[in-house]
Amino acid sequence: MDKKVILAILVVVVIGGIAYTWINQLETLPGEKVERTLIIGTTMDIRTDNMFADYYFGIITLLSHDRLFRMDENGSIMSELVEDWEVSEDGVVWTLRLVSNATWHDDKPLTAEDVAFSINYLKEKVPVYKSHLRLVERAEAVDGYTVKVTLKEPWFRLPLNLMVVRVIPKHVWEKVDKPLEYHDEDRNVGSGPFIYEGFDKASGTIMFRTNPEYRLGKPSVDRVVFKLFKNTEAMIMALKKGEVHTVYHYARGIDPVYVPALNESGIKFIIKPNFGVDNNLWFNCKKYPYNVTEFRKAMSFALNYENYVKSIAAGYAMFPNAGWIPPVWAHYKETEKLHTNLSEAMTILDSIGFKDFDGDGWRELPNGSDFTMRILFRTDLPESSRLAELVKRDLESVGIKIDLTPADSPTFRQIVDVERGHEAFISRTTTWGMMMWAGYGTGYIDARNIGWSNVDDPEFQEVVDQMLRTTDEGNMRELVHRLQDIYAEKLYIIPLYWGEIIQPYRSEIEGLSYDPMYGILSKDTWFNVKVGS
Amino acid sequence: MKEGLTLRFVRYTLTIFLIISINFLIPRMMPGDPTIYLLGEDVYAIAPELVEELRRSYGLDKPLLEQYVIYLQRMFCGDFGYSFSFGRPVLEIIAERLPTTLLLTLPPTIVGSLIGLYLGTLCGWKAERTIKKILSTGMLVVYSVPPFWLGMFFLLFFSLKLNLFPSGGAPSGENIQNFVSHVFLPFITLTVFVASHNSLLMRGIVTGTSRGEFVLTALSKGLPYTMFLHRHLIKPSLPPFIVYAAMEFGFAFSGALLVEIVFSWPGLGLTMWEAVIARDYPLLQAIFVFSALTVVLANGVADLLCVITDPRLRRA
Repeated sequence: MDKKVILAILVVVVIGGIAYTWINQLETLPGEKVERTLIIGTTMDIRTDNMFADYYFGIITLLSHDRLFRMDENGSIMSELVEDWEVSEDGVVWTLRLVSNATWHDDKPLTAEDVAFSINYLKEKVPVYKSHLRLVERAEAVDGYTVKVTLKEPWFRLPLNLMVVRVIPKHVWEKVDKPLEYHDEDRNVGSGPFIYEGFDKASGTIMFRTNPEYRLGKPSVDRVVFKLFKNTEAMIMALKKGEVHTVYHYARGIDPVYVPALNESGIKFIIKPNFGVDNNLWFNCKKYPYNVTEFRKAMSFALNYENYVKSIAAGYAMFPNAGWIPPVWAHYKETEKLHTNLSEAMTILDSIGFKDFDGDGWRELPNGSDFTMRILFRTDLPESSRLAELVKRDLESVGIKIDLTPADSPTFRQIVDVERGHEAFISRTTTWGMMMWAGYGTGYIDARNIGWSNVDDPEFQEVVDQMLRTTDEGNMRELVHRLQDIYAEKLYIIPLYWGEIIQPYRSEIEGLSYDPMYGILSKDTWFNVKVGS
Repeated sequence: MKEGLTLRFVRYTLTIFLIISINFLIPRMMPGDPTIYLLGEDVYAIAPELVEELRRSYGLDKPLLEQYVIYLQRMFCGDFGYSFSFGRPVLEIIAERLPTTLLLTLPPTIVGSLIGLYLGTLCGWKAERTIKKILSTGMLVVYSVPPFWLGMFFLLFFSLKLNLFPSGGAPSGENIQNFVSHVFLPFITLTVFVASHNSLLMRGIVTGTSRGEFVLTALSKGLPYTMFLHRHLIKPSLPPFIVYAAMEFGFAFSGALLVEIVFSWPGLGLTMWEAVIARDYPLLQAIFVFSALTVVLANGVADLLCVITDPRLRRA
């Protein structure tokens, strides 16, 4: 009987093998037209093809929807659908003149009516835009290609916020009361270089085909396909095998640990400085002892930055400055380089009363009671747990007891954004995040905005308020320099390293462009990229 | 017999009610707010009025008890609500993903159970033989390996090294080659795993059964090996095996989460995970309820099958 079973298994394996080979042979279809298709792998969690209901799908609609403004490779704002613009002296009325040759994918012309409708409609109906456009009073069409945007108060950062606004066709959306629940065929009609084709949920592919009527000419590829992966390892395998040409994730490159293996497979890389800060140690500056500048300074001396650059970023990073803002930004100012100095850290801690009173090896609070620093880290950021362990080890080396707490994204938001109950945590900032509020990361720091650092220091807020109001470039430069001095002096936040974005791609393609906000989904990519066989 | 069935029915009804109630509570006990997913992290922190507006529109601002009553009323009317992370009705999502999940889990459950049944029986009978010891050890090794690791190994070997299969995704369209190439690796991964632990289970049962005096009697009658195997070794060992296999059928509904992640397979396991991350209460509740119902149903079927296969239970 045993022999019969073994024989049966062998027969099944042989028949299976023969069948598979036969089926594989059937696949070859002679005479099939070869299209130039760019295939991009992504682990972004895309669930539905409604750009307002799905954050990550909204990102990839950059292909199908033109915006009013965009960002170039250097991080400067450029016009896209706006040809030129002017601002009233009081900064309240903006007049945007549009290009006159833009059309929707259903061949109707894109006019000022559409743009005014988009701004008013999105502000009213789509939650996320209520924030982006919060200072907009109303938008109205002056003539066929001129839009007047009236603000509630002067706001010179309007073009920046219009950069994330997708312009949508009035004739499609004016009948839709609940945009987050709209799933009709015309939901993704845009005016961009690609036309949305569909989302095959089973195979996890999202398809766009070229828009031959695009106002700037036909893109250099016929199709763009996004292939969705649920785990990074499988996606990296697909890249090595050639199933995808490149990979993409919003505001993120690949983890440097994959670089050596990809190098062996002949994969090429675009390496760009990150406009966001990859990882930081954040403090809640309203809680004791994190509200004590000397304590934060002591922490900064205890951290081993060299280790983070080597072990976490695999060398694709720089030692950070105390001024936090990476050198890629305009108005960067050289501040003191952060460095490890354990004896200095211990001296400072001693001087502010943090000593080991009971001889258990851990420093207590000045009143003698036990002290444990609770550091939250995000489980949705791949390197976070490794980094947290290194930070723990470093801080414990100067006698600070650390409790590491992992948190998934909603838990993290609940603790940090809603309850503001955090003590310290490790997290990144994105390019867009650095531009929010008055720019230069102020949104993350200021307690009046996202305020992860929960700072309400009048000196800092005064600078922020001036940055929000100023229109003068020279004055802005001065303010940003002052801001970096404040960051360096107060250390509300400790950057752990200034990293680089690693964007891998196969050698069959060339011409990928990279912008600091949306990476390779830059407009320039679509007209320069070439896909070989 | 009739009383026994009534008692079981009452027991199952109570179990289902308890499950439904627990399903309501568990997601709400988790930290985190479902509106974060809709608003995005940047807006959530600075626009509390929008958070409140959204909570109101999804009925999340109501007292918990009121939410519970509404939840029960809707559930008994077959209304599982609206998924705010997918922007679609919950039943629509389940209907879309259920076939993909069943395609992934049912064939390996059936094939793996049958292989496990026979392999376990063979290894359990005269278990002291060297070849059977080797086989059992092999099964134990496979069972000890987490299925996602096995999946990654198959992916690495068959997809990356041999380039025989794609690196993920479910089959799409009517192309048979596409179907086979996408299904093969997840099928093998799960089949090997299911077969390994079923065979270990069956081996244990058969080792016990083979000590029975009826086995000795059957052998002394000089029955052919196949007849002996089926009638006197497998049949009396079936009831505990059926209960276990039925449980596995029940869990087939909720998918094989880790294998779905490895093979980027958009099934219900993955949907459940996505619902957890988004704190999508209605979707999470519905998947939990359906999953629990299938386990309860499978248990009921197992009870019936045991009664059919074991005459002692019929008399009891």
